[in-house]
Amino acid sequence: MVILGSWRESFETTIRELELANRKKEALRDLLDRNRMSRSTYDFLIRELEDEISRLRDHMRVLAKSMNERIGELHRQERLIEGFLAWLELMHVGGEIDDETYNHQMDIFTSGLDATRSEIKQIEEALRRIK
Amino acid sequence: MIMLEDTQESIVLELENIGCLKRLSLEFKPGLNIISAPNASGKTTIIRGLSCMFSDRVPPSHVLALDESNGRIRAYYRGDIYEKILRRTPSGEVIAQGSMLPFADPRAIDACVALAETGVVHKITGGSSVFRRYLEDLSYGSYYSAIIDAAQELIDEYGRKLASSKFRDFERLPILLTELTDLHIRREEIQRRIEDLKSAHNGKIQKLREKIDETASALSSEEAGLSQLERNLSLEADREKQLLDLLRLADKSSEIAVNISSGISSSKRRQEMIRREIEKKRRIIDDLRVELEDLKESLRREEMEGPRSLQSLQNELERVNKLIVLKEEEIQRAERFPPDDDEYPGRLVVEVRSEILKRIEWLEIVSGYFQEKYMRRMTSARRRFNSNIRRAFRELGLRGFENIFLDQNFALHVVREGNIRQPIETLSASEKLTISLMLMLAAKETFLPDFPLFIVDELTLSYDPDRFWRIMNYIKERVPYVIVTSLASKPTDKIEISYRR
Repeated sequence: MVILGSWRESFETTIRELELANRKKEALRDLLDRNRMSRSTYDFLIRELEDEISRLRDHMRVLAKSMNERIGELHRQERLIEGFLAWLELMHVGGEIDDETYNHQMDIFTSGLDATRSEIKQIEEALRRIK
Repeated sequence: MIMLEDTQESIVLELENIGCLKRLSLEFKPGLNIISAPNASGKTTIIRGLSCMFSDRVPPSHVLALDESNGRIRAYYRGDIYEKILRRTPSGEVIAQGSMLPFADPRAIDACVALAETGVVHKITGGSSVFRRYLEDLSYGSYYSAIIDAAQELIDEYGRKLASSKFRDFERLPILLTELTDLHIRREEIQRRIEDLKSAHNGKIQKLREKIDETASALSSEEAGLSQLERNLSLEADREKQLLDLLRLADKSSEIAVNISSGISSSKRRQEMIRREIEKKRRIIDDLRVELEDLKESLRREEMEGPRSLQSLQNELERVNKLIVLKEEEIQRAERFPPDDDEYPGRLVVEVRSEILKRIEWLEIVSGYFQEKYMRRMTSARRRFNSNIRRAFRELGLRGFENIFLDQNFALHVVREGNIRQPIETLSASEKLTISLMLMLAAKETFLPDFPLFIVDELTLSYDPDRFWRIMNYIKERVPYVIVTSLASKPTDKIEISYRR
């Protein structure tokens, strides 16, 4: 199971809003180029759009910062789980824990490691989309 | 500034057809002038007539005798004559023309004339305690508040205009733009699906053509094989025929005949085999021809009909394109006033809106500027007014009151000894009159310090005489001419005037 951070919904919403705002800019430009809108109205609306885009970009920057922080946190978590798995392996080889316990613990921590790596990958992909 | 020593001269007032007075001449001397007469003999008429000469707030219709069409008020002051003619027009309106006394000030009627039925006295005796308007009028704050009100009214008017349906459509432009963008996205999606569908269809046609070529080639190869077999069969039949001819010529018992017979049998078997192969080949060829026809039919159909569901997508695309055109028209309508608009025909809403917003901004600056001036003026007026009330009460030494003042909301507070606040309406009639006179004197000293008259019309009826004359003497020390009307104490039919210096 992949545990998603709280960044995802906000990220997707912001990306969508940014895309829509840029599409609106294109639509406006198209109206102006085809003389379907006056320059004054265009200037008024584009100013509002630019403000909105600027606000969204600011929000995206804040989001990217918190996503980078989340990546750092996930990497620490990854190292921690890897360390624990190595320790578990040693304990099992040394016969200090039985097969059942070993297998059970192994399953839990392996899936945790997968989830961590998956989230790291998703965040990295999302950050690439921003760039 | 009029100094007391400069005013050692009389004001002579002549009235003609004023109120109930046909003709009257009175002389007011510096100091206390007491007019005494019986009821309904014209005391208040004299006050109104005199007031008419220094304030235009006295309505001429209240002054001219009801049964007369013309009247006159004349004042002699410092060697000059000031005259006002009152005339009733055919429509019944009374108009006044002429000159006023040199110290005339419309505000004096509020600050220097104590009439029982109007102004501060009426306000106090009626129990009212808020004096904002009174101070506004006297300090000219009302001009500022009028400007502020007018500016606010215009701001409201512009605000209402911006909220009207004419501008509401314009405010919807961002929404219309979002809707237009959604339509663009929808159109692109349909176009992409159409392209995908066409591409898949072209691939299908290409495959069909390849299959047709392949089948045609196989058919052609099979037909060539069939021709070859038919040729082989014909050759074999000729050979059999030749062998039969030879057999007829040969000795039936000879070895040659046996061999020829064997050759004939062998030829018959080969012919049979070839026939079977020809039969098989023909079936294959028939199948291939049917397949080729089917393929050609499929190709023809595909080429004619085009991809399935393309039509519905193209219909959808057409619909979206129409919607885009309509949306663009809606946007165009929203950004401009209609050509037949009564106020802004054909103008761009954004420009009109910007002009209105600039006007509102300017009006807010004006309003703010005058608000500040108003506040400063009113605060200063209130402080000076309060200070003058305090001084008057202190100098008069009136017992029972600790403080009388207007608060920030211009509400009057009466504080009795022991810091007890007393509501105005609970004061005695005599106390209300005292406070009224003190407020008026404070108002006069604050706003009209140089005005030479102070007039009190018949306030003595419900008054403690000792206190009244103490106040009058106090006022007399501060104002050159004090005029008091009083009910005659002895029976008389004359208006009499007495003087006290």
